[in-house]
Amino acid sequence: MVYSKVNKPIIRVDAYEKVIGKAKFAADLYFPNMLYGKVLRSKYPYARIVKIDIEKALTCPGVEAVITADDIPNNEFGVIVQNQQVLARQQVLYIGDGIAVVAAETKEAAAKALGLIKVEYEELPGIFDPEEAAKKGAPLVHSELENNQVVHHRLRKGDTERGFAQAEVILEREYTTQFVEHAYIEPESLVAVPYEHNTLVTIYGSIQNPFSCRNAVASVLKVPLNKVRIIQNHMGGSFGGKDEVMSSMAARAALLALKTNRPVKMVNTRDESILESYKRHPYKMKYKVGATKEGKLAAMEIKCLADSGAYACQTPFVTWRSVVQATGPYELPNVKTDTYGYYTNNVYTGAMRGYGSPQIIFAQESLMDELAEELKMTPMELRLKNIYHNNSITASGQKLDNHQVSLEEVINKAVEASNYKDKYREYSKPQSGDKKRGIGMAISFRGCSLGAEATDAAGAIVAIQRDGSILISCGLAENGEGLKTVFTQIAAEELGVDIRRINYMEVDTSVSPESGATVASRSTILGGNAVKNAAHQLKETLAEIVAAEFKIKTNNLDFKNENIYEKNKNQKIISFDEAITLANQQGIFLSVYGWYKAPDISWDEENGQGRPYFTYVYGCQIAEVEVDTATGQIEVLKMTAAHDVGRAINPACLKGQIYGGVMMGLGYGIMEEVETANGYIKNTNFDEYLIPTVKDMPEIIPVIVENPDPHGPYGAKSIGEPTLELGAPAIANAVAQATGKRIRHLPLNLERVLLGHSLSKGGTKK
Amino acid sequence: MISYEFLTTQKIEEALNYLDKFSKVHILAGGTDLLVNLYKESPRLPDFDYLLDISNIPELKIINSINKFIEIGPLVTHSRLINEPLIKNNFPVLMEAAYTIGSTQIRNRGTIGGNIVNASPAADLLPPLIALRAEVELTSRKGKRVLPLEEFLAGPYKTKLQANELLTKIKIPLLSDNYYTDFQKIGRRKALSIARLSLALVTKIDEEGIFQDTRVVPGSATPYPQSLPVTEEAINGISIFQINLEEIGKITSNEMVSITGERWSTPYKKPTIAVLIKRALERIIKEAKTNE
Ligand SMILES: Cc1cc2nc3c(=O)[nH]c(=O)nc-3n(C[C@H](O)[C@H](O)[C@H](O)COP(=O)(O)OP(=O)(O)OC[C@H]3O[C@@H](n4cnc5c(N)ncnc54)[C@H](O)[C@@H]3O)c2cc1C
Repeated sequence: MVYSKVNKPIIRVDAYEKVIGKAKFAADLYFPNMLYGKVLRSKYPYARIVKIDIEKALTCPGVEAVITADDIPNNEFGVIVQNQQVLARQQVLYIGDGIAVVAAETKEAAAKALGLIKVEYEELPGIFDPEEAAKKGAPLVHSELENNQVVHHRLRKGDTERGFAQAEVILEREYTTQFVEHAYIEPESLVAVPYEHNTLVTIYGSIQNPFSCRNAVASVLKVPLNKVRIIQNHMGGSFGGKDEVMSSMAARAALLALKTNRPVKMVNTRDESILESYKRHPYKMKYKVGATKEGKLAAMEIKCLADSGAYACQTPFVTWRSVVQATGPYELPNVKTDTYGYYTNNVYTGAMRGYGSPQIIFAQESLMDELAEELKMTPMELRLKNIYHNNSITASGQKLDNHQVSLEEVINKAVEASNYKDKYREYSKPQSGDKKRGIGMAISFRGCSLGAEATDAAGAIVAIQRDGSILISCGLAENGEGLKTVFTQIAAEELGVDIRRINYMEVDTSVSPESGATVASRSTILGGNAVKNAAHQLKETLAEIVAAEFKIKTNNLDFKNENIYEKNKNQKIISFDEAITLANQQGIFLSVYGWYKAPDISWDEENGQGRPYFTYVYGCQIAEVEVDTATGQIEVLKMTAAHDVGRAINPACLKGQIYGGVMMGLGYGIMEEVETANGYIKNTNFDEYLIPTVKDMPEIIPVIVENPDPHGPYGAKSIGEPTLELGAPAIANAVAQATGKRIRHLPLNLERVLLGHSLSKGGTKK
Repeated sequence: MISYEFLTTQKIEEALNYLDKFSKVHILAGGTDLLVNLYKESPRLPDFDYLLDISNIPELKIINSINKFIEIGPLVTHSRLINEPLIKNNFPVLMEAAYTIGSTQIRNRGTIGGNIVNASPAADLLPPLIALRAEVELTSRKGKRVLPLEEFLAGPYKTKLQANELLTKIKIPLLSDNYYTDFQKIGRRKALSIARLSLALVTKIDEEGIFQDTRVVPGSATPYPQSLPVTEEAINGISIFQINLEEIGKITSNEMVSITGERWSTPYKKPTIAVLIKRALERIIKEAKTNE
């Protein structure tokens, strides 16, 4: 099939305004009479609030309002578990908890007022290690709960005891990963405007999931959803990070706006952002694997502990993705997996690109290399012996029979593009000098979209205007990845019109159809289908009008190049514009809602069996590194990333996702870490929280593999998260080959590479 | 919020007058250290009422070769150190160090004077400048004084600059032909990277291939950059053909630890400083051998 609009690297529809600086981000917004909001945050990771005295702050010149938890109709919100405090009421549970929020005429006055609020604390001994939190009798983070467990997911397949008994080689290993920060370039920002356009409050902001934000604000204010309106601004990055933290900010700003009857703007500084915002979960993972001498996997037992921090946030679903994917894409007759989330008084953890997969893939792909070494096989050989193919049965008992299981193809293409085999051989030989090279691979399968987490459907409006120009609005939100462009291409393809006809609208929760959250790499597959569905309905409507007018069968019509053709004669009948005029004259309505509900899935929580996802994507990344074994410095020379995406709607945007994902994976692998000490965050700005710079960027070779999926629009599936989850283990495997030493803890910083363990000012830690 | 009055001038004379007339004046050059400290309200900032912007004084931007010295104005940026032929040809070690500083933007703004007076233990220009025996010229209304840079530094983030003084020149004696130099730096990433450890080496190799007048100055190794006399003495007098690099490495490690004591970072820095001195010596020896 040859397409004219999709499968093409067209220029992003929002590129121009961003490049020339015209695009407005939330911090660029100013409203008449606007106030500035600022949050007073906790001094301690865990403490009882004895007394809050706001009297002095209220009399501070310029201060219009000070709010504490007592002023909040419903102080606790959450997407899954409603236990996140908008402002701390009796206790602060982590160092980023807000205690009071001030609205003032200037930022300076707001900052000054914060200094005048007196909070009396009684510091409590906190719990900062999920293993401690899991112990019987451990102090409770949430005193109303029976224990600190947020969630426990189980998966049972076959009989692992029997499997291990049959195994000839058994390995047991422990791996850990760290807290990391999303590091979006634009810190959290929004403006809340009261009583605008017949709603109680309108919020303009850098909001990843406008509908989740609306749910939170409405529930905090105890008002119906139709009283709260969220309009998304351009996003300076999100990566999963602008969800609950934005909901919390939105609720605080809304409360201030309603109390003062004035617009309230809130913009976090970088320090505030790193202090308050949720992070990627650190995991402690125990893996046990058994295999035959020939390298067939016999059994795997996995236990993962996730640090949820102070709140449940997304932990229940993050650890669910982990339980489904923990074995990696390997056929295993016997599996026993348990994933747990525990509350601690650390910074809370939530969604971040990958969502429970980067951690387990680091463990499982390191483990496969360790096992290969034990079996005296190459990492590639061992993988090829065990990977999923068509009709393989996953650990959850799902038969992969409704799409092309392309792991082998993806591996082979990455291997070829990186010259893996020759390099693996070369780097296996003894190397002289301090600088040693290695090459490593990591592979994954990833369930597309939400899976059994939640209802999975999305909607879009496609509206043809009188003059034939087109508006699109979808409930899924552009997060910078290129969603607007991809959806525009899909509508243009379906209707056979030029991209320039289409104007893509910002998400407005009072207009756009609610589509769930822009997460789980689900936008193209879910939203794309919804847009396609809407455009298709319009096409059918127009086809009927044209068919009737020209006495041609509707199925003999072809919409392309801005015209409508008679298919069998390949002859133009009428232009698209003329067809619109015809419809207008006949009084036909040319706006439609498109809707797409994902295929059915199933899940048995007791044993972790079912069809957790309706389709999967497959990826392989290969890292080539040079390690300075005398100083511990790692240089990543080259990353090859092969991903089966079903269909690349926009290959340029897709490559952008690969480059960005690979770089985030590299940062996760070798340098990024939010360092905590007893709940305090040590590095709250980019001078100390290091992310890779452009100079650290290796040569990246993207390999796009296309096996159209029957469920995807034009066969398209997912790319956002798969690109990020493979870099760290591929690099870790390459480093292990180069140095002969295995590092089981992320990140692979200077000290770990040189000494085998990390150092910190507080002493040695794992 | 720190509040202050802002003073600016295009003349050294006037700057000195301000320093003389007002008390609690703090000097602003490129601002790449100062503005960060202002934003953070860093305890490192002295109490001040005036900020004196010297960045528009042309006289402080000159690089000159005078009487066996290269004189560098304190406002010379890192980018200029990299591109200036006088520096490139005479003190490649300074150029190499400047090249590792921050990013293009920081190198375009940050100055040699700011790097010196800020006196960070990780300041990348301090090790090569000390190793080059640089001197600083300090000027006040009352006159000028010249101090060896090593003496000018008084502690971490501390110098002997008086409240009424301006750093007006950095003077570096020219090296004769048989001097060799090298700079090594370890960071956590390739740019915008504060030195985890660095080392500047300046040494003479005579006709017989014997090390003389060796200067070894590490960065981020000691509370503030200072030379390592024990290491220097251990190298002096040894032939490039006979030097035992392992042993020198050990001496350097031990000397560093004798200054710092065992700190949290010692397990990492102790072996790696040995690597840096070895690498610096290896590079120089190789160069010397090809020059023969
Ligand atoms: C992102 C970033 C990255 C950086 N990376 C590095 C790095 O890799 N290596 C490194 O060494 N540094 C680095 N720095 C620190 C800084 O850029 C350098 O130290 C720079 O040389 C300071 O020069 P400046 O002109 O900006 O100093 P300023 O900030 O203007 O001044 C610094 C101090 O020196 C005093 N001062 C300046 N000039 C004079 C003078 N003529 N007389 C008397 N006092 C004076 C000021 O009062 C102030 O106390 C970095 C800074 C940033 C923000």
